[in-house]
Amino acid sequence: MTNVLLIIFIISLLYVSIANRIITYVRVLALQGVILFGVTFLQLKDIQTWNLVLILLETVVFKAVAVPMFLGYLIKRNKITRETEPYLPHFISLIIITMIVVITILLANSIQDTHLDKIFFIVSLSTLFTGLYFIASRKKIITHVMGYLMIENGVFVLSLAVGNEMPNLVNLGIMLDVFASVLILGIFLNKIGDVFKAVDVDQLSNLKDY
Amino acid sequence: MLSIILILFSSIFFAGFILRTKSIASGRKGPGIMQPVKDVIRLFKKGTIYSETTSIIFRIGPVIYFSSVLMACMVIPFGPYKGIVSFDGDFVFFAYILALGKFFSIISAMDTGSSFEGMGASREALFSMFAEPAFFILIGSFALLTGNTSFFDIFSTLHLGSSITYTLGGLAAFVLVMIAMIENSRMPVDDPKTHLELTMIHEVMVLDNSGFDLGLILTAGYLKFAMYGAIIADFFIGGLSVSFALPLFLFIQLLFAVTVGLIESFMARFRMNHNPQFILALSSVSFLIFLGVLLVLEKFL
Amino acid sequence: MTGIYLISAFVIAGLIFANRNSLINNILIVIFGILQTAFTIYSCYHYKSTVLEYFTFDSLGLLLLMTLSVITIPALLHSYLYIKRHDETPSSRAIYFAALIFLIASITAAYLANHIAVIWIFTEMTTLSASMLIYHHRNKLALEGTWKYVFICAISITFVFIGILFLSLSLQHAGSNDLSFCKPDAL
Repeated sequence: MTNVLLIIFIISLLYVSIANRIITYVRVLALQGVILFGVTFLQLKDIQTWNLVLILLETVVFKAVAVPMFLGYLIKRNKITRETEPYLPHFISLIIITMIVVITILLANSIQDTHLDKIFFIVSLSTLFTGLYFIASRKKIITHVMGYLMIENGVFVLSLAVGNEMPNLVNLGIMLDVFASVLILGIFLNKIGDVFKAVDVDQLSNLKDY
Repeated sequence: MLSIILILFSSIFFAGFILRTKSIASGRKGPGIMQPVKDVIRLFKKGTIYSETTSIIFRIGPVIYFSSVLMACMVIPFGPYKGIVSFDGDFVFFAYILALGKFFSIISAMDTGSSFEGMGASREALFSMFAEPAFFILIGSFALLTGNTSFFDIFSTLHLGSSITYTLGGLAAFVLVMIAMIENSRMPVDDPKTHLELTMIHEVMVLDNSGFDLGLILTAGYLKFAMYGAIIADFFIGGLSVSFALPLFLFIQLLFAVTVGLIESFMARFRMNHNPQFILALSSVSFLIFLGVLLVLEKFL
Repeated sequence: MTGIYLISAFVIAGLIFANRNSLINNILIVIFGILQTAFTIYSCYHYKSTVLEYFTFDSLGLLLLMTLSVITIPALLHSYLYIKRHDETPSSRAIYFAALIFLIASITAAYLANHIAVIWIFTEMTTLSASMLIYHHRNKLALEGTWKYVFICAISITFVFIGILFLSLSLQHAGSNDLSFCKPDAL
């Protein structure tokens, strides 16, 4: 069952690479949040109320509901156009992301490690590199934030792959930090939307040494 | 032997079910289930008109197209029964006999000298070319999984035991549905109901065919759908006994027809320049299946 | 004392943020300067002791903390003069000093933390507070710089977390599950 969910996760990456509209990215991010909840839930060895509430908060409430709603609000408020405007055609994006998945699998294969769950490792690394690729190849600032969130999802899966229990306090701190950084990025995005005409990366090229 | 009878039987109703699903989804009563078959029979009764500029190629094209599809149908097994033709590596034969039919339908379209038909032919060739790796990687990875290279052996030894093989079967069904849509020039890639020659793919290729030839081409299309439905059903039937396999086969065919109808009702046609990337996405998905198979076999390099 | 220091530093930052009076603002800054110095002296006297489970006054932490405290005093003074000479509004001044104090307190906590994930959390907090300082002037260039700073830091901090995860993975091979720098019983 976990494998099924993880394969759906990778397919969502492929889907996102050929998506034309920004709203699709938001939906895929929400879907990934739900998938992450399923994966974490299946990984739980014994169900404790506090642990379950924390996971629920981290995945469903935060990743699947709060962040997509916030992104939708940002898109509406800044009147961001629907197209994703990549620098490269979708076609090449698809090929590159497939290559990323393949290379990750080859990489994971060369690691001989009993403590590392391979499928989790593959999914997390490919999500991570896909997020980076997204940041590098998309023109709009909001897609950069989405790439960051995708990297964040990858890290979440990686923490499951490593399987080392962090203290609860640390988990809570990580969650709050991510939440704060998304909020701050959103606030600055709003400011950029107010100050600059278009919310593009091309606008942000004035800073230089004086 | 049973498989070809079943495929022929389900192909009679297939197009009718698609039409009926589309009518219900759009709130109409729609024609009867047998209407597409009646249309074909009417076409078979008619004579054929050949353009004066065409050669022999145009005359033999539809016949070869139809017979290639029929031959491809013969390869498909059904549960415990082999197809009429069955040998090691017959999935390659399956793919290329279909390609041969497609080649003849393309050159017969070129033969008319119409610029529209040439354009449609070029698009059809392009999309089939992109769909080919998806099909080969898919079937090839299942061949790797089972260690056999004929359709019958692959399907009869494919154990759907653990959850990962179920996932692979589901993914394979998804890819095959999409390949069937592409090969039949249906909705997400091509719109069979369009009225503008510039946006057509398959319809524009058969503009000059009439009467008996057109009937053959339409029948070949229905057969193709039933054939892909049979392959999808085979993924889930495996080694079941006939009493289970027969209802399951018919149910999967029905489900496939309804799915096709629903896709056609609720999806818009892609823009022409988005088609290649969509079809290539299918290749990526089948590549994932390949990797999943490697994972199951623990055969990583 | 560490708990008191952290709580009072954050309380001071909050008070400065809420306050609009120039005199109270200056008094609070002076109080923070004294607090920082006092905490540094206190930590010198408690060398190699662990408090609140996650904070240890080890040698490197102390060295860095002392450096930070030495720099803090001129930084506060310079900020005071800078704000005074540039006729800042009360609200922008309040945000500036609150962010500055928040930054210094987080850096202090990050120096003293003995668990690598706790360091991670406080480093992320320094990113957030420093972004407020960068955005002080609120013009186009500041906005551009802040965006780049926040974005790059957010991504890099994520990679730091990946590093931590790999570190914990290799620690599992060594038969350990503990990501803190020094165990209390080893001291």
